[in-house]
Amino acid sequence: MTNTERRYAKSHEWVRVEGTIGYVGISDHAQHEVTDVVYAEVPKTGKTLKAGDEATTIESVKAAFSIYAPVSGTLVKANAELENDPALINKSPYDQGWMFAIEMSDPSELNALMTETQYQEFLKSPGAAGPH
Amino acid sequence: MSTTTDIQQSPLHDLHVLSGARLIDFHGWLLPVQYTSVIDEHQTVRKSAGLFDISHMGQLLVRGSNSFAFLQRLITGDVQRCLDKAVGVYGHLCLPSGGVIDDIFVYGGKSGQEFLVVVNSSTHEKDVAWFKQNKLEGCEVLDLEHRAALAIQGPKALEIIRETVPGIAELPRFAFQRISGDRPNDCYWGCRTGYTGEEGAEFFGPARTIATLWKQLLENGREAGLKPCGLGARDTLRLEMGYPLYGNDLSEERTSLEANMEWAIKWKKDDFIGRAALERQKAEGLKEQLFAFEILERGITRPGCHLFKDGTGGGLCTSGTFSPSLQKGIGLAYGPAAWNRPGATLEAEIHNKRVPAQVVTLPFYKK
Repeated sequence: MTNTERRYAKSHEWVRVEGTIGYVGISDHAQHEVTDVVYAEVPKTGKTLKAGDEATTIESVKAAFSIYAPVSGTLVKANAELENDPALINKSPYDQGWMFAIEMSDPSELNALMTETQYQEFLKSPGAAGPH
Repeated sequence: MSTTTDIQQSPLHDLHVLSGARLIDFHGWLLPVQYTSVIDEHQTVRKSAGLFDISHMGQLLVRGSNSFAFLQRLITGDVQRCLDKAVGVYGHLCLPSGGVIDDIFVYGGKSGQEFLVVVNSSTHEKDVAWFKQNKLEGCEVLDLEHRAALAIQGPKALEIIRETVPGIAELPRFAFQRISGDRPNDCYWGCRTGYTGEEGAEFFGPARTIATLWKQLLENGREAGLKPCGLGARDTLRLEMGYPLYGNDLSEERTSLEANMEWAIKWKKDDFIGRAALERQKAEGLKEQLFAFEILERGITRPGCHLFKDGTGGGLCTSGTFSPSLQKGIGLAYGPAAWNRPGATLEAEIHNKRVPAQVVTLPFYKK
């Protein structure tokens, strides 16, 4: 897995790995479904999360959305830029709109996540509606 | 939940699909919630002009010699203003209890014999039944079909209208004019009303006529920055002005007085359905009332959020959103009438956390 390669959860988070750290954000599809993000909670670092645990929340004009950890580990970084410019999640979902980073406790969990091609296929399926 | 077979499409549906709109089921109508982004569309309306498909609104025609007396008995507003000034009149259709069946606009002229009544889509059928049930001899109620409607709103709206339809931009606010189309049945109504707090007009007419007008306005408004806008922006715009949304802020369980809309009740006119109950309630005083609040920290209240004062509950948010103009959470809520003092501090429960809020006066957005 190269460091630009993303893996995706069914709840539309992506994770990009740099060493043992996984950077997490939401997909372009998800930011489009969520609509304009107006608040993004910057999560506290240091907490331990299991894959599937709620890590943070974002809020759009439309509603609030939970963002889940796609892999287990310790939350070691959070993107403080989002506090002042939450719209980065819409404008740059894969780069400046990253939300937090996890020091992975079990990198093998990545194998259970979708590749880019699998995710694009998944989006065509009826069960792929946006985050709730 | 509506199935795909019974959902209604606007006559402008194909145009929305072509422009890439995201469509949602709104009370049984498939309508654009946004074309690009709610915030962009909101700012477009505040800074230049936006075009809204409002074909879901019900259009009734009330006509006949007794139409004036009939409508005057049904709504809290004073229909005499239609006869005197040829303007649209806002009012509530009330139950005998004073509870609100719907909030509507009545457009009619000096003859007093023909009125266009515009009702909400969520209450359309119920309203038609109420009109028919209370109908007087000498008037007829037609639930118009194959109709469409659009609203063009924003500081640039009037100049675009002026270039497209003669005679409407020059009218005073709330006035209207009937416009003859190319063919005898193409007649449509241009009304200087809206739901955003900006200048502009609403047009109600046959589907084909309104579809043509939609295209002409977009073409003529291109340089001024006119863009199609969805229901998402329509909601943030109306809430910034404090305009109520039926089903959220108005319902049969709440009276016009509880909705803090005494201005929509014209006490000087003759009897109307609900009057006795409203008079009684006014004399006795209100226990609860709708009030406006803003969130003082980060956070957005949504309908259903609870509000507290000095630790005691009793407030319930009925409309709440992020205000793109003010960059903060704003909302309307029902709560103890004593809470309704501008500056009073409250707490709003957002995601199980209490966030400070403050009672404010309407509109939220002041120019």
